[in-house]
Amino acid sequence: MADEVIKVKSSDIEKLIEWLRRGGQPQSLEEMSRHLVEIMREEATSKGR
Amino acid sequence: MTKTISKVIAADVGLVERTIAAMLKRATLLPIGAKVTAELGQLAAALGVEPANLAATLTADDRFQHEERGGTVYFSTEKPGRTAPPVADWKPTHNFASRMSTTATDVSSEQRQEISEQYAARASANRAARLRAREDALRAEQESLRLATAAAAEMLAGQSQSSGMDDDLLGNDFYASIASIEADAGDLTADSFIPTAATPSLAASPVEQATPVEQATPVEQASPVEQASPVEQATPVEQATPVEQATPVAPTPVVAVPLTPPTVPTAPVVPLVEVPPTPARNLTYLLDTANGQQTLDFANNADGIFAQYGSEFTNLLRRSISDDFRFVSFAGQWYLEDMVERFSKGDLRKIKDYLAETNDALSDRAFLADLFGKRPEQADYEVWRFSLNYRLLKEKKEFEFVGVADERLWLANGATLFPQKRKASELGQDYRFLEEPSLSGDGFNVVEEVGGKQRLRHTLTYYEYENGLIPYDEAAKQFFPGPVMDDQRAAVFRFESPQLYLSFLTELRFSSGNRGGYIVGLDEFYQNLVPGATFVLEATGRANVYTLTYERLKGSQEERLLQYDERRARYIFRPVVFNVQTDPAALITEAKYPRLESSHKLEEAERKKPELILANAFESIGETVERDGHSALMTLLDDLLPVVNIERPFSRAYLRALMSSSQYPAFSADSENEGVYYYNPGKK
Repeated sequence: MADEVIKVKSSDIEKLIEWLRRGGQPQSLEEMSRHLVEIMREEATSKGR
Repeated sequence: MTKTISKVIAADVGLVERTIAAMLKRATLLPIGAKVTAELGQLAAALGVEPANLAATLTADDRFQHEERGGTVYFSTEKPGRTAPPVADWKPTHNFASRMSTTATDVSSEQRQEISEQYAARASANRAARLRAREDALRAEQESLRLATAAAAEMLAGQSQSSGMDDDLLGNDFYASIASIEADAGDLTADSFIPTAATPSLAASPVEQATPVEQATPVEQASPVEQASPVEQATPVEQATPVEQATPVAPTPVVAVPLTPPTVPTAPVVPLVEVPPTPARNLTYLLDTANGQQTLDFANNADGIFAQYGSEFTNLLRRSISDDFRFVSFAGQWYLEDMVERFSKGDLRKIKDYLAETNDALSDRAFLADLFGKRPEQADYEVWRFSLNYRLLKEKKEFEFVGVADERLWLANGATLFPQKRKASELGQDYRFLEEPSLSGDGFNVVEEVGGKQRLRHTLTYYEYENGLIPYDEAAKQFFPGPVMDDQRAAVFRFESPQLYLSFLTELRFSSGNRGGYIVGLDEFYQNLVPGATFVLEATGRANVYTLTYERLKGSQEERLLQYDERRARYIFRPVVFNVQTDPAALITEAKYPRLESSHKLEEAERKKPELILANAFESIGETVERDGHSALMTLLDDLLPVVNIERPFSRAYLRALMSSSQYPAFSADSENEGVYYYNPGKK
């Protein structure tokens, strides 16, 4: 099975929004991207292929 | 006789005491031992005695001193009294240490600070370690939960096939349990990186894992009624939950109890421990990068992934959220639109009035503190700060952002901090050549690296001296921060000159369109320098504050320097004494350029044509020579540069390009001698 190309899904954005909401502070784009990697990694790990 | 003398003495003694009492009345506020002086006439009048008698009495008493100033007699005495001896060996006996802790030892302020810092460092390290441990535990927990779920499902499928048991026999409750476990796993995934959502460790002990074996006792199995009940069969799945965190032993009772008769009480437990591990999964994905698609393995640590592909993920995210109305951003920070604080029109009016009152560039922190009573230690301070800046940016007609990175300054739109001799548009046009990188370099700004710090060394030209400017050339762009916003017009800085005890605002006007950039507002500082002087700018800990220093000469130097005489409307040389380091090549002295004396300023229309300025400069300083059979004016580039910079800014590269351009054939470079240029007026 060919590798999937990484894209930001709406579910990732929803998780990011939730994270921002809970944090209660504005964040830099870099910090948000770092968290996006965590979200994507967790999703890939839990899904597996 | 003796009686008379004693009477006189007694009277005198009374007079002396009354005099002292009278004098002390006017010495209430003087310290003990201070000299108290009074005029004889005033004293006699106050005491009701003859001045001569009083003078005789006081002169006889050694406590009084007699003085005569300008024909007036004064008597003075010292204010009597005793002062308490100073206490040298006082020690505090009723302080905190002696009352509350008899074992406490005194520590110096340095020791106290050191102890506080050590405590803060330990607390910080402990907090970080706790967070890491909690994250690790959550990850391990989540992984084991998933493995256990998968193994249980696999086992059930195998068992049901081999034993002919169908889903109904297992009961729907079992699948409901599996579903709930999966849902829990999903929740853990979502929350795992939010410290506040941390859950307690669920690590199971081996004893707990063994519990299902006890449930499978022959006694219970011997009862046919219990075995037949599907509800009871499903129950052990829930009891087995702790096993999920460690090994896939958990589901054993489910399989063992109903299907095996009492003859095999515990056997199924053992083979389940030996379930082969889940095969390695493929976690590789493709990521679009500037160098094509790269393979990324999510099995790696998230920090490692970000370190390698951080910019790609940042770009991905930026593309995804920049058009998403739920997100808002300001100066590189992002937040949720529905979480932003709201400001009323009244709030904005207050800010506008505050800016108008001060006629200054004010920071967001000043607005928050002075108008909204917000302090940095408050939990919602950063949200307020972000919200305020975000809102002010939307009010472009009223406010203008003139800040950098973390120093967010605002001006009332249209406010002028620096009244200028020339219009901003004219200055921008003069510096237009700076927008061409090949012409911008080799100018009067040089970036130096000293002790790991960047410094900008600048040599002052006449044009800059007159207009209080520094050009925003390539070196300055490297040194100063760039605009935060795409359409940012200017940034306000504070320049501090410790040598002159000066602190003043300057404004960096960024280049835009066909206008070059420059820093304005140095007029006052330049009053201490001369054109040709060199000075250094150095960054400080704050992004918008810089220090200005120049080298002072040991002795003063006197030169006849070029100045513009407004009254006579012409340039003249005047003697100037200065003690600042200069670049001799950049000084416009009478000795070097005598023909500039009494020269006129160019008309504004002429000034706009660089070739006219050049021709004028050649005529003022050039030497007549024969070139290609014609008479021409010759000069060196180094001599030409300060002179053309009187009327308009030129960099060395710009000047060189102009004189080598085929557009201006009147100018030419000497092919053999570098830096020598000619002007042939006949070749226009």
